[in-house]
Amino acid sequence: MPTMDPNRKKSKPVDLVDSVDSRVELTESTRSCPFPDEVLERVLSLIDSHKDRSSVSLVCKDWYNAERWSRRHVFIGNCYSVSPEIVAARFPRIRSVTLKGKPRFSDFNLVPEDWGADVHPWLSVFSSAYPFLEELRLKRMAVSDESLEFLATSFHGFKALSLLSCDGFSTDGLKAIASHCKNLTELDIQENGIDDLGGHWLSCFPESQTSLEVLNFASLNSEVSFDALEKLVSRCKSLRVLKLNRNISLDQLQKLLLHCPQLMELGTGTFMQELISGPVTEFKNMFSNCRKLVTVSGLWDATPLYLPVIYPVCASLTFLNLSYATLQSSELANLLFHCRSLRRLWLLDTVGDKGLEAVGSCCPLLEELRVFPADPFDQEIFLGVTESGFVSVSRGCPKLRHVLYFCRQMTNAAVATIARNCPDFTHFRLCIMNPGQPDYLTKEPMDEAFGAIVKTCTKLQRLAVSGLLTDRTFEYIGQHAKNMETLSVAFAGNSDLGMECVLKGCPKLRKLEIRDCPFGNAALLSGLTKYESMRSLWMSACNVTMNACRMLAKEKPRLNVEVMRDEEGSDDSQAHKVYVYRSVAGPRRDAPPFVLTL
Amino acid sequence: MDLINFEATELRLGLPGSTAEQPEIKSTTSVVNTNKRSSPELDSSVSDENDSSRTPPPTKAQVVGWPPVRSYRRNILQGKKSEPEMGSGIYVKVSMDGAPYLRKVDLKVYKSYGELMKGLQEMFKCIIGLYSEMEGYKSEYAPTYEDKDGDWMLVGDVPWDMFLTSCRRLRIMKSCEVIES
Repeated sequence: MPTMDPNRKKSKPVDLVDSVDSRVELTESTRSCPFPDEVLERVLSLIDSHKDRSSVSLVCKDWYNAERWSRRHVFIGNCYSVSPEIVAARFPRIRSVTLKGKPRFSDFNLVPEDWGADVHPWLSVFSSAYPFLEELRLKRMAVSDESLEFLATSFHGFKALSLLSCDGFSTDGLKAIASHCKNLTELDIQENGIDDLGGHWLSCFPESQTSLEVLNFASLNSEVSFDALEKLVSRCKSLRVLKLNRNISLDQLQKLLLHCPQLMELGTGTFMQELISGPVTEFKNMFSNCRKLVTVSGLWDATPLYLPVIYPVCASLTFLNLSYATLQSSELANLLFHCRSLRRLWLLDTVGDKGLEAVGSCCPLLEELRVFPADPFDQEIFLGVTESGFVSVSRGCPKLRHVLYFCRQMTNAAVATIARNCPDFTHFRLCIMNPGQPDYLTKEPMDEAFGAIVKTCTKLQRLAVSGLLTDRTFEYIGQHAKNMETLSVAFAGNSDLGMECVLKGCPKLRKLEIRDCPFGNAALLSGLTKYESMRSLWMSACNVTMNACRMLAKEKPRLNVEVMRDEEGSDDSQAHKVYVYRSVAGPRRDAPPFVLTL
Repeated sequence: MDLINFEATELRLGLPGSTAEQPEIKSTTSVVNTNKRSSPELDSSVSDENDSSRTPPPTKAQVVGWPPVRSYRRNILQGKKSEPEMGSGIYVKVSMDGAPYLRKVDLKVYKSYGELMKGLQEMFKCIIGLYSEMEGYKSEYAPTYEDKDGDWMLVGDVPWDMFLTSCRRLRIMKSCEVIES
């Protein structure tokens, strides 16, 4: 997944300035800043992190100006927090934009269609303000084919397009991008609500297209022309990321790999063949030329027969995404035996606790683990993974920092052990799939589990809780989670006190998303002074009334307080879905009828 | 091959009126789009056409957007059997017309159709004989199988490897009952 939050460079502006200072003369005495803008701009242009740049811009007016002229990339975490006009006015020389739209719970169908986050108004402004725009990365935005066509034809040097979790477009829009963007280096289409009308878009890349470095169409369902794909891959010598869709066979993959030995990230197609054209051993050498491969994903339908084909590259892999392969424990164990350098691993829970034991014993360098449920909605299915698998991993992988774990049973004791084994957690998301389920051994709430996490893991930035939880959990969070920026809560808590503890106690809180909890008006209003320092608050199916929302909106004019009404309008006093966010753009003008801005 | 006529004459173990075999319909849409509904986001009035063949626990209501799994991840198991594989074998149910109860065989144990037929013959104490492309099976019985599309096919037409991946269950029919299509 592309990083949406460029936060690489940690250099402090002060250090850079000091090193230049001694060699620069003082200019006019009226200047508050001792050296000319051009030098300052040059220095500041080396700073990538948008957080650092924000700090820089606050130093003084000269620095503010130098920073705005030197900024090339702008990150907008909430498209409604600012308007495209304001962005264009402040930053005249942008080449790259990252834009996020809908609240995260829209991924789980909690936000109706036509809610908003349309990218087009942004493109309109950018077409005149940033004619040299090169990169656009969108997440949870509404994108139409017309917008994609507009993008393709308005920005002549356009290079990189990344669409993650967006919706509203079809493969016709991709045709426009492929046909018109002569300098395209990146086309990354992931997990979108896309109308897949066929694979012809790929054939729209002209013969002159040789600059592609990243091509990801793994989430598109229809077949592309293999002939066109093979020719494209062989003429794009800088291709380093290639993620195919399930329709590409093993035979075809083998042919493609011959053309791109320089590949660093590969998403395979289907990893099984019903009618094999040659002996399986013919595939054994498929990967032997791919010496730079560090990431492998795809692997749909992988079976023990074909999985060994990737063994030759396993030793150097740092990221292995097996979340589309329904592997059993022994298959995984045999595979991981070869993968000692893994830093990131994504799995399906078909591997079971036994599979996770193999993770613990084979991958000591592991930093990120995600275990997805193969069949989340069928309650009759086998167990998946339990607390024991998680504990096994924690024992063998002390460097774990980032975990997403779906399970059907958990205990407080296990989580406490896990926290002790892996004190460096920065992202901890535990999803016990049955809402409100207690510790299955002691029958107690899971309060102590999350208490252990927040007490032990002081670097925790992101937390998602689940299971039966009382206000105690939130007391712990408020007391200890001093670095936490994002919190997701569902089916938890007893009273307003829970939410109040979090709002009062977590100084770095930026995003709070809550659903189906008994938090009411007092809780909502307790955050009155807090919300302006946060990106957003989401509360749905809680106990909040319209009056409390109106009060919040009245007291805090710089917040947008939006309530989503349902059509029946049965109980007008209840606010069913509340979305609160800070904004310098005022209430949005494109709100659909079911969104009420108070 | 039209199976509807045969069901009435099948001998199976079970209460009269009950159908022992039901097609596995996955109830994937527990994430019902109830964005139009008010709180709570619980939809307990689930459409039950899919569930009539099973008795789902009545207490488990379908919750919108829970667990928080994105839609593109929902149907990973589609195309695969919903029964978990025991060990790494390919176990399929086998029924024979006239036999009172079903058996289960591990297809992985056999390397070819010939071996499979031998195994079935031993299991059911019958004679199935050899397969010929033109005439099928020249015996009292014809082995058929349900493929992953839900169609009933005559065993032997496709290569063994392909059969292994597509066979969902077997049924040994009486040759006289087979209607050539």
